[in-house]
Amino acid sequence: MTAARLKELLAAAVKLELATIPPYLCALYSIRPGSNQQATLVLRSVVVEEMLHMVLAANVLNAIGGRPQVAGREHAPHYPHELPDGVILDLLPFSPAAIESFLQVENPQYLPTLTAPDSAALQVRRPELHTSHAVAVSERPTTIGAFYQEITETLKAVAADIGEPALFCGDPARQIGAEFYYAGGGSPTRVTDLESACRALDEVVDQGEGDILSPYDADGDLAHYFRFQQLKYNRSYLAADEIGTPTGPAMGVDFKTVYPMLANPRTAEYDDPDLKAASVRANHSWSQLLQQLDAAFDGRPDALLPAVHTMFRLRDAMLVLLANPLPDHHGRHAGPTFEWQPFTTAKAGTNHDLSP
Amino acid sequence: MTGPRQLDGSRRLEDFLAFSAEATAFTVFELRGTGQSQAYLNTCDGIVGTEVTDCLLDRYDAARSAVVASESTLPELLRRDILSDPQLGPVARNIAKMWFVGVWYELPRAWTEAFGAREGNATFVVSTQSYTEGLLWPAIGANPPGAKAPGFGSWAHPPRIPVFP
Repeated sequence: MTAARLKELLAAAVKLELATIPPYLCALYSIRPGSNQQATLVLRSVVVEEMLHMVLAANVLNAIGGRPQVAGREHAPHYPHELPDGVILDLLPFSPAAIESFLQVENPQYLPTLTAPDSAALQVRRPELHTSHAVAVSERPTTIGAFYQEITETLKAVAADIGEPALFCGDPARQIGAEFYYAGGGSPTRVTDLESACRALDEVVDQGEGDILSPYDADGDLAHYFRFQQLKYNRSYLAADEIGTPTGPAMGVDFKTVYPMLANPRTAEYDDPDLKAASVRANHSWSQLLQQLDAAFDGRPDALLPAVHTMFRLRDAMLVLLANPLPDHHGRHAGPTFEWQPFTTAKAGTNHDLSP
Repeated sequence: MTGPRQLDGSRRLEDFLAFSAEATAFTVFELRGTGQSQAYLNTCDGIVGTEVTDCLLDRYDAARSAVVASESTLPELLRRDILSDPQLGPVARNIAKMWFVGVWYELPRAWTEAFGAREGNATFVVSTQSYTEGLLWPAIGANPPGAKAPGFGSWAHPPRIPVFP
């Protein structure tokens, strides 16, 4: 149990939270405007909380003198993306397969023995599988819940061993607080000691997976796993409902009013020059966003402000891609590819600047 | 040149998009990206009738074929054969405006007097998304006010205006 091990685990946790975001965005933006309004709200609420979780994990890592990294081919997520419990994150449109995989991601006790979404079409659309850093740093196959439990236990053990001041030696100026992170699933906790570190990590686990026996978190919000159950069963939870059987009003789920995005698309597969150029531009925005996040996590929290602008440019680019059918793909539509492809020439417009 | 075209729906939409790309200076890819293609074609068909729409699309096809052997450019041919046509000109302008603003504008009185009043020919917003998807906004490098929020403080940056061919 050492601080070095903790840094390794937390660095993987930051990447794990980041990796969940693109699949949620694909599901969210593949919904045709005006349809699936409840599902849109669920997906949006979950994805902004994942953004908060990434920031919380980064705050804990910075508090112990670590350096969260999300930019660069080595650190950016690639899809399909395998998590520690064997769950594979694919880029999919809003669909039963997507919801099934979200349920697995958000289930703290998920074990790979459960049924995975394995439509034949999807299997062939998994050309290369990338393994999460969280898998690499785990000593054995684990659940996401156990992964976070190991982090919390190690934090406590190391704090007891070397003392809190020695463990929480990070520069407080590297913490991301509410002045730079706004309107995204809650307010980030500044981490300076064991108590605040545990509070930050508890929020990640509590908001995400919740307690498998109690669907509501400390704020009375339904945990992600149960929000997705509502979409799976197309029923909302009533307060008195038993776990696993929501009986409330229908959620209005309609998988037909969705842009049928190609699973795990690649820019190289886009033959149309306009489409390819738009995909490259979207990847520029995505890569720039990761660079800005990386800077924000490395002592420049104010880099989050222009990162928000980049995030919305990426959203607009995604929406245009998703509305375009792909010739030669049986009615499938284009979609964002989330490939690491930074803008490299010096001709970047002023809005491309990393600086705020 | 006239009469209903015997085309399947997707081919008809392709032709409408090709003409629209010419009329707006945006690419077919960008037009599709608004998600409004079918809504605009349906609106045009619904107000002026499919025969008039088809006539316009035929005229555009003919101009595209003719430009190869012609001394005129395609814009010149379109100005002569479509925009100057008393029936097709106002419809073509309405299609361009619809893409930019998301609104069908009531056809001018001269048009209805010459070609007959049309049911539903009033000025109206085409769909719940058409305002936010108007090409006006990307053309001026801005977000539609009240929609597609660009993030706090983004207004401090200069607008990003696309390059037109």
